Formats: sequence, C-alpha cells, structure tokens
Amino acid sequence: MNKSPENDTVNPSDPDQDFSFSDPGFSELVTSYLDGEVSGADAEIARRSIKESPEIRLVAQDIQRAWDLLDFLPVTVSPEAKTFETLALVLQESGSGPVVLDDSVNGELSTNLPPQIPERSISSKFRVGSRVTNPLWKVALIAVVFGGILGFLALGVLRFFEASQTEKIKQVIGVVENIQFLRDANDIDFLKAIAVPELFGQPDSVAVP
Amino acid sequence: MIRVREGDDEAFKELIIRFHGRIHNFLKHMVGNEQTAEDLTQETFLRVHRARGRYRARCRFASWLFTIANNLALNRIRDNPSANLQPLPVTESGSLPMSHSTPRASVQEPVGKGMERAEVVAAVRAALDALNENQRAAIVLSKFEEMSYEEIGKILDLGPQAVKSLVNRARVRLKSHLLGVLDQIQSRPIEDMDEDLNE
Repeated sequence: MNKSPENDTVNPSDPDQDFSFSDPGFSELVTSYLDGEVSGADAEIARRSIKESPEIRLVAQDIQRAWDLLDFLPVTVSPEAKTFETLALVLQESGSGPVVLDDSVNGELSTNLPPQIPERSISSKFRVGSRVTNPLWKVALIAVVFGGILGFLALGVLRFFEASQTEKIKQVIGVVENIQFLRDANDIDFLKAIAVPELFGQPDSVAVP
Repeated sequence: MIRVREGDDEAFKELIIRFHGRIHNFLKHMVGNEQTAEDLTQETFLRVHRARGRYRARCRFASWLFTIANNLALNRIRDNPSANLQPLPVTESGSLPMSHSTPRASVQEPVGKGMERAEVVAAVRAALDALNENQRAAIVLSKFEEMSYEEIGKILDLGPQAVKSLVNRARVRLKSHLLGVLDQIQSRPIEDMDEDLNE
C-alpha cells in the first residue's frame, strides 16, 4: 500500500498492528480489497484482518452487502427506437441526410421524431442519403428520353433523302464530265443521257422520239 | 473512433448503437430522472460528434464518452437541482415508463422479513441519491460499468489516491444509508465470504 499522510498508520510489515475502520487508510484498504484493486502485501493485510477480526469482518460484510443491493436498481434497456432517434438527430445535425428505418424498428418510433425522418421500409437496416420524391422530376426525365428518340428517328429519315439526292447528282456529274466525248461520238446514247431535267429543265425539247 | 474522427458516419452509428444503453443507464443513475437521462444521452452523442475532431487515440473512447456524459450530468444537476433526483417510479414488476427495465438482482419477492422488492429499490435509490455527484459517479462507474479506479480517475479527473478515498467514502456512506434495509433482508451467508477469503 502506498504511504500517504492519510494512511500512514497502515504498515504491512507489522503483523501485530491493530486495524480499525475509524482509520481512513485502513478503511480505504478494505474497500479497495473488496473492489479487487489491491494485491500483494496490501491484499494480504486486508484478507487477514477481515478473517481474524469479527468487528472488521462485520463492517466489511455490510459494505459488501450494501454494494450488492445496488443490483436491485432497474437497468434500463434502451429501446431500439431511442437509439435510432439519437442517431437521426446526430446525422441530421451533421447534414448527412435522413435516416430510413426498416420494418423491425418502424412503428416503434416515438411521436417526437423529427418530421424529416421518413417512416418507410427499405432492405437495409438504415441508410443515409437523399432520394428523388418530386414527381416533376419523373415527367422531365420521360420528356427528355422521348424527345431523344424522336430526334434520332428524324435524323435517320433526313439522311436517307440526302443519300438519294446525292446518287442523282452523281449521275448528272457523269454526263457533264463526258459531254465532249458523247457529242463527238454522235451516239443516240448521248441524247438519252442529256435528256434529264436536271441538265436542261425541259425534257421535251431534247426528248428522243 | 478513429474512423468517426475522419467523418465516417457509419462508424458513428456503430458507436451509438454500442454505447447508447450504457450512457443512458449511467445518466439515469446520476440524475435519477428517466426523461432527463434520455435528453442528456442525446446531448452526449451530439457533443461527441461535434468534438470528434479533437479525439486523441491515446485516450480510451469509453472514458472520453463517459467524461462528457458525466460533465453534462453535473451541469444539469447544478443548473436545475429541483428537476433532478426525483424518485423513479417503481412498480412491483420493476418496469419504468418509456423503457424496458429489469432488475439486476435475481432475488425473488419477498426479499426479506416483511420487505417488498419495491421498497428495497426505493431505499437503494434514496441511498444513491444521498451521495454527492462525484461519489455517485464513482459508485455507478465501478458497479455498473465495472471500471477500475484508474479509469474512474480519468473520467472524474482525479488521481489514484483521490479515487480510492472517494470510493471508500461512497461505499461506507452507502452502507450507512442502507443499514436499515440490511437488517431486514436476508444476509449473505458468512460461508460465502469465507470462500472468497480462502481463494
């Protein structure tokens, strides 16, 4: 036992020393012993004193029995909802978003829960995060998707007509590029080739009978 | 707690789930009022969350948590002493409102010569309330949290010798207040203590 002004009357080396609970140092030694806080020579002094002195033994027993009486105090098992209520408050303050509880705790929540806590069921025990609940978001999302599909189809049709026009122009370009040769050849095919409206606009004027 | 300090909310959830009941019980024993204990429990975790950046790993988290809870209890008792330490309602079944309460003692009613369990509970509660705040905290932490003197010293900011003196005074005073009950209930058999001493 450590020496101190309060307990210097307790001397482990003196087995014949008389101990009394009126001595604060000895009283502390015994209660520390009952609490399992002493060992070695100090523990031996306490153990021997309790065993050999009826007076000390009686007081030590009463101290221990009073200690045991504390077991009569009810121990509260905090309801799970209370734990989650605390959790919700903390996370709400930290800005982490609402807490969603599952079926096992849903319904146990007390009425003073913050209104931000939705009482909805999800698969996980609880989770943090925001969710889209405004129906306008859904309408806008559908409109964007539908508009995209229409635009894609319109683009495809436009490209189809452009390709058709290009093919016609290629034919005309072939005639124009070879017009000198075709004229010199004096071939009936020449007349047929130039008998297209794209070249002269009036098919009849050059039509082959 | 290291993860909490770095902003991990999932880790903080685990801490709340693990410690909520213990902190609530400690505060209930300290302030003697169920609703006040619940309010202070929530306040404790709010304070911990706000101060998480200041937590240092060399300090045991439970000690840090109970230190905050104890300080809040002391503040509440000093600010509003009349609102605290109201006897908790005790029914024959031991249940309390808004909670599921069970007595730790396995002793069946009646516990002694003409004394009902509810009477014993009321007497023990009164004896605990008769202690000063530090004595009560030391008793509750030692008895219900099974903390060592060293841990109690960290929470109450006291040295080893001061804790030893504090616990001794608290236990002796508790015994004095409960002598009337001790006379009426069944004594712990002397043989039990003999067995302890012979170990």
